Amino acid sequence: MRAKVVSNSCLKGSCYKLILKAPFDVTVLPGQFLMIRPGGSPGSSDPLLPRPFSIHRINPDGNIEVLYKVVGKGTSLLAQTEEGEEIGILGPLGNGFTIDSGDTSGEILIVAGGIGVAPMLGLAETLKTTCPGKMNRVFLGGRGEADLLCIEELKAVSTEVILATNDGSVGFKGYVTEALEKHLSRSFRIPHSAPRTTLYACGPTPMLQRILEITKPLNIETYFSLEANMACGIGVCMGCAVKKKGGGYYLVCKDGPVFEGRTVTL
Amino acid sequence: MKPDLSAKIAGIELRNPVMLASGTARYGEEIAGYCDLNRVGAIIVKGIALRPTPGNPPPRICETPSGMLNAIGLPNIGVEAFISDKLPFLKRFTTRVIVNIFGSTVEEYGEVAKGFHDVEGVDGLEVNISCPNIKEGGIAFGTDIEATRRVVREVRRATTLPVIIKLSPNVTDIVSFAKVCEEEGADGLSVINTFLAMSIDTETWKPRLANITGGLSGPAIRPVAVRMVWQVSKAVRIPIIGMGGIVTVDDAVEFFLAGASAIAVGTANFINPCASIEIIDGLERYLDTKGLNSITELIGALKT
Repeated sequence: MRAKVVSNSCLKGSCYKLILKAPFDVTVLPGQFLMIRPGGSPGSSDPLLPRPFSIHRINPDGNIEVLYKVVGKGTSLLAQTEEGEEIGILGPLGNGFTIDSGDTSGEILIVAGGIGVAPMLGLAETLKTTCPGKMNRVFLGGRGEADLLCIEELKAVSTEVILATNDGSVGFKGYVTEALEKHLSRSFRIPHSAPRTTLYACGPTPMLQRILEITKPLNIETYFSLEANMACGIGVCMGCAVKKKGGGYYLVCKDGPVFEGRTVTL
Repeated sequence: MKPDLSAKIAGIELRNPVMLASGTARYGEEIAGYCDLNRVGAIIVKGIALRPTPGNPPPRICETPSGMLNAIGLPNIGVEAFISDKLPFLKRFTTRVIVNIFGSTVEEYGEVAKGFHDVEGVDGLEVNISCPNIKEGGIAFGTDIEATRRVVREVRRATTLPVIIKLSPNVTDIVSFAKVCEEEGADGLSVINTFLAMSIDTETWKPRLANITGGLSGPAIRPVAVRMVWQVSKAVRIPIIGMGGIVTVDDAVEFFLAGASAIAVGTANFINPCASIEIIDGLERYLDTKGLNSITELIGALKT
């Protein structure tokens, strides 16, 4: 598939928002991803492979938004892509977040580290409409203020947005998981009267590992959106393995990218 | 009149000479959603061993200039599960099914081959003696001329199915390996598997694959693959399936001119799951433009 670039602009530092005209007419679930081939011409062989990017949200115009951070050759080329150009994409791929729309009580926690916020705005927007009665708290973490994205957009669709930075430039000073722990120690002070809690997270592996440790003794369902080196995105190359609890591997592209925290070894 | 793309390789009749290379289309289910399997000549399924194997820990792949490294480590579901759970899906298509097999001992190669004897829906075996990513078997057989001889002999004895040997490029003289395969009764050769390679992250000083080394594929290896196909085709009479970095129709034509009777599309399936279909359409157009009636007119037609 080829998709036309509606816009591609720098949001903050090395983070960009790419807006694509959707070449497909299907429902996109929050947490699903696209394979995007940066670099313009279909015949170019360097870079060779497409890259996986989570879908940020479908905007009111029906266009696909992708939030990304420039980290290497592929994303550098993607950042140079201009409005009106066409790029190769494949998607939407993967399973998306599990949302229990029947459950109207309890609390939802969204934890995002750095560019891990990318799939979370679409999720928060969907939760706002599918689970309107629920408390919906977003924990947004980064090294400094420059790493925190989509603060206003998230405020518009959640009960509270808690910011955490390592340098203390804004919000809580420390890791986002420490801010989460503080919150949980309050809401789970009397464990049996704690609200039913579902936690969605996306971010660096150490952050996800810490979340697993913190939530293990509490009765919290966790869903993690994972990232992996990936060549095909559809389950044929088998490159994007993640360890399955109890042995063997899942494929991030086909079995995920969203996994229940307790089912994987990170 | 449309040019004739039909081919016969190692006794297997194909509607066209374009195959999906082993390890790049798994067992067909996923890629079938994007690429009409009824249009490709054959699918060579991902390597099958006697018993299931889990594959290597991640990271399993990384990109390199015009190529990629992989150390997937041959995760496989085993002969029995393949026949009962995966083959029925493939039998729904008219496309030929070639099963890539591997083992950790010479005897195991024979046993796997026997496991496919008289199995309906299997048109041939491709014997993997060249995977660089597993501790036992694989490349250890494909880079030792006597081990190659023993494996080919064992598989040949074990089955009446067409036997195609997938050669390793990680040898000084690929021609001598090709000749041994022919002597031992192989029906065809797949030329080539990936190159043993390595890439290092200069920030962390760690290898970019958990397995440390992996197999290099993609356009980066194409000129070497073309050279090897050309050398082998001059030395043996059995047909060659050419592979190594084929992305476009022009890439495919190079392999036919060098002497391949069929080609396989590998890494390109990851970039574009319809790549093989585009190459098939492109071959028809190419023959038409050149005023040729049949793909056979291209095979080994290199002018020197």
